[in-house]
Amino acid sequence: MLVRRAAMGLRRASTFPFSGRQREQHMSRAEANHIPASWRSLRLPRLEGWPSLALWAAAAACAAVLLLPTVYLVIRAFTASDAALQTLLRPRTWETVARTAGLALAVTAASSVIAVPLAWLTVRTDLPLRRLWSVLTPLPLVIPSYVGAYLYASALGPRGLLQQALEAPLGITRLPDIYGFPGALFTLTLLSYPYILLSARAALQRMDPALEEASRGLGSGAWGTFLRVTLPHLRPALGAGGLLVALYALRDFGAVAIMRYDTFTRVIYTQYRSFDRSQAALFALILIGLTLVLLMLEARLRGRARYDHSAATRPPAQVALGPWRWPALLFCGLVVLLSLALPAGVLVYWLVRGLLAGEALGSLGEITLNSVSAAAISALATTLAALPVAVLVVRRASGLTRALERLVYSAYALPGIAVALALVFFGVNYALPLYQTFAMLILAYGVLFLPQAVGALRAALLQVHPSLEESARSLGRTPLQVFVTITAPLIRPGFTAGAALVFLTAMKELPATLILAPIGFQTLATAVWSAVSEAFFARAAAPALLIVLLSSVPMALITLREHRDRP
Amino acid sequence: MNPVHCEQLSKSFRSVPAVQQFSLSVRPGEIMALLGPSGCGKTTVLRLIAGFERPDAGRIAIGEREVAAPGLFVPPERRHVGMVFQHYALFPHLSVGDNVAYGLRGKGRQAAVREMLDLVGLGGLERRMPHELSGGQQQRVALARALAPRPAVLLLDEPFSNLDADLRAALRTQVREIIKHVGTTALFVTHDQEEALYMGDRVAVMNAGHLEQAAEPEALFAAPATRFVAEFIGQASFVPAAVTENGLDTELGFVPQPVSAPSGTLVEAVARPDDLVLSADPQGNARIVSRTFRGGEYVYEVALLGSQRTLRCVCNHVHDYAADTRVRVALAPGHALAWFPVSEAR
Repeated sequence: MLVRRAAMGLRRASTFPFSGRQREQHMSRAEANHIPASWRSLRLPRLEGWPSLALWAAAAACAAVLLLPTVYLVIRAFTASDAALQTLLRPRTWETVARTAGLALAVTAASSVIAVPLAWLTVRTDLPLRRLWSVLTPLPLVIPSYVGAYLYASALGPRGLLQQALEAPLGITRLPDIYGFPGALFTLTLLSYPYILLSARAALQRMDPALEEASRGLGSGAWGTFLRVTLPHLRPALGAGGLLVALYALRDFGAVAIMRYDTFTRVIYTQYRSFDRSQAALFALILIGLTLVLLMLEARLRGRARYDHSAATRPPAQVALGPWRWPALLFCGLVVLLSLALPAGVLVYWLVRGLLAGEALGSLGEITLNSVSAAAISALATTLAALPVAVLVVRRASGLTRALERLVYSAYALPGIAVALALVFFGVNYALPLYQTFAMLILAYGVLFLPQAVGALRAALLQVHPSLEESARSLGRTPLQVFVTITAPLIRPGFTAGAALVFLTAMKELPATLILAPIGFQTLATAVWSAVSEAFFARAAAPALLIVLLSSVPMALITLREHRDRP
Repeated sequence: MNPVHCEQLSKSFRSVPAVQQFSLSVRPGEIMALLGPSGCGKTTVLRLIAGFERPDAGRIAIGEREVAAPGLFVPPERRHVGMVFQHYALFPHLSVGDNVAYGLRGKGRQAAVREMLDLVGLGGLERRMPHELSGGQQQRVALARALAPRPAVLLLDEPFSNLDADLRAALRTQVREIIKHVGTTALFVTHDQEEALYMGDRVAVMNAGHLEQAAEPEALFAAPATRFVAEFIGQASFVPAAVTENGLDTELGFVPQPVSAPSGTLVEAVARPDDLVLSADPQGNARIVSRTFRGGEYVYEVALLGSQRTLRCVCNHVHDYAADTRVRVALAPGHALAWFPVSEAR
């Protein structure tokens, strides 16, 4: 369509001597005499066509980059179809599928069991210290999975801190083995339940109290109302939060690798390290397939139920817990103890022990600088690249932009290890100059984090009513001028939020960094990883702490900003 | 040359026609009201003129310049049209002064801003931010901003719909005075009849994407061009009538008036609530169905006993009839009635 419009423009200018655009210019010259001087200075070069063209070109480039890893893996699988078929038929492949899916399901179920009561207790009851619990319970989000797994493994594993502490007084020399499924489930659940918690809390806060009152008025008891009205109302939120948790478990590399549970990500990494690259590529493709299935399931769930989230006009009624507040407090305390206090305590322990043992901190400055610069550059580049995509998706609704939106949304599910692997193979085979460069790392971050940036910008753009831009057009400004003077200043908070979000996730990213970082380019994440994989737990403490601090600062900024912006 | 001229405009959205073969000219210095039920396409007409939508067919000229025609589309920034949006669309990150200055260039813009704000009665508020203003003030800033570049035509989209009733009436007067003072041509969209009749020098009535009639407010009442206009303006009822040599013979009485149709033709006469007279009469020809008290008067809905046709009548507040009361209804217009040939649909 674009090409056709461009061609029409050319033809109009060349073959029709006095029509369309030229006639209009002729008219405007004739008219110039009775136009005030202030108008004449508005006549800038015509920019109607090219901003649109540039938008589409930029968005098409983004789409191509997003598609590159998957398409490359598909092509690779097809060119070696015999080997691929054999791999698919091997039982080990299906065992890995079962393990991966099983872990994702178990983590989602366990997270819901923790998160739904927490959400209800902190929003709808007179739980003592409610505000404190509301602040503390989402905090595990800032702990990357490999940091959490390292802390749990070093504390609860064989010959770990707990066992040592119990050995002297009680003579216990063996604890139940944490490695494998239990450790992976434990770690991933405690790190990812906040996704369900936050969306359930938001839904509970938005819920119109009249719904529950209507149910009580119609003769339903407190429990019946919860089961028949409240819980169904939460379903979309639980679906969305549950999807995030399942994706987290499916894509996670750090926790399963440290807990030594052979799901796809760990198997892929092992194959890659042992130069079984065709296998690794195929497994990466299967993993992408699994995440896409999950996304489609969620989309279908979401499509069926639409609830009007009309902003509640008054705060929901509070439930008095009575004597139930003691078990409720115990529950909240236990969750915070396990998900926050335990990791923090263990981290401090290793840090102090490392410092006492004279652990060298010398290279930490350079490593931190590497991490921060990679994350900052990727944040800026990715958010800028997301801008044209977001503008098209929000302002030019059409079949094509809806497809673009869907593509971006599904790219959110891409596992870091699969993207990294695809880019390595692509680099080796087709783009050798890019292979093992900083640019390649930034590109991988771009693929992984573009959806987040688009999401933030999309939300910001939706806040800017189109009539603002139309007003500005009517007042004599070209689309580009309107964007610079009106749209850009208004979406700046969204841009900042998007960039901060990308910074935060890039800071924590492990598998892509591990595979794609140039030789000798160590980041905080890879420093933690290499120390932990050699069981130097004390050495891992300082970089782990720095990651948590540096990635929680942007999160705090976003939260503060949201609170300030709310009148 | 008319400031705005639309010719055979058509526009569909996803093959649903919004505007069909719409032609309208607004005369210099005139305030034209575009009136119609919601969804009739009136806002689309405004957006086509402003250049926010491309017409599928037809032409638009603003002043001497054609701005939309087959193969021609002038973008909004080059149409010299001022637009006041329903929600005002003030730029929230710019001060009141900067909002008004946005469409101005070059030296003297500060003076122009001050002049415009004085004109709308907001002098001295240049440095305020839009959210610090009341709804009515925001609306006047939007007006000042649209008028500042001295547009060829001012377009207003439901300009008063966001205000409460008291403020609406006051602002209506002010806005009309400002527009008349500046002498600009204005086209404004509304679904509120009272507003259209008060503000508009002429009123264009739209229905289902078509222009039904464009005329002075009085003419819309006296001589509605279509059944829709008659029904829409002033809640008219239709009464069957036969044309006679010197008037209309209706089931509610004879109305003497010249009729330009051959005797014996069956027509429907337009009877407005105030053209009908009610009186209590146990042998009457109708009964009361319902009544609405409007303070100074009652509006009754009555059903004729013979045809079961329902009519609306307005009565002074002293005539209080309960539902089901038998009454006599008579036609006493005191002026010639508009009439339409009997439509085949009925």
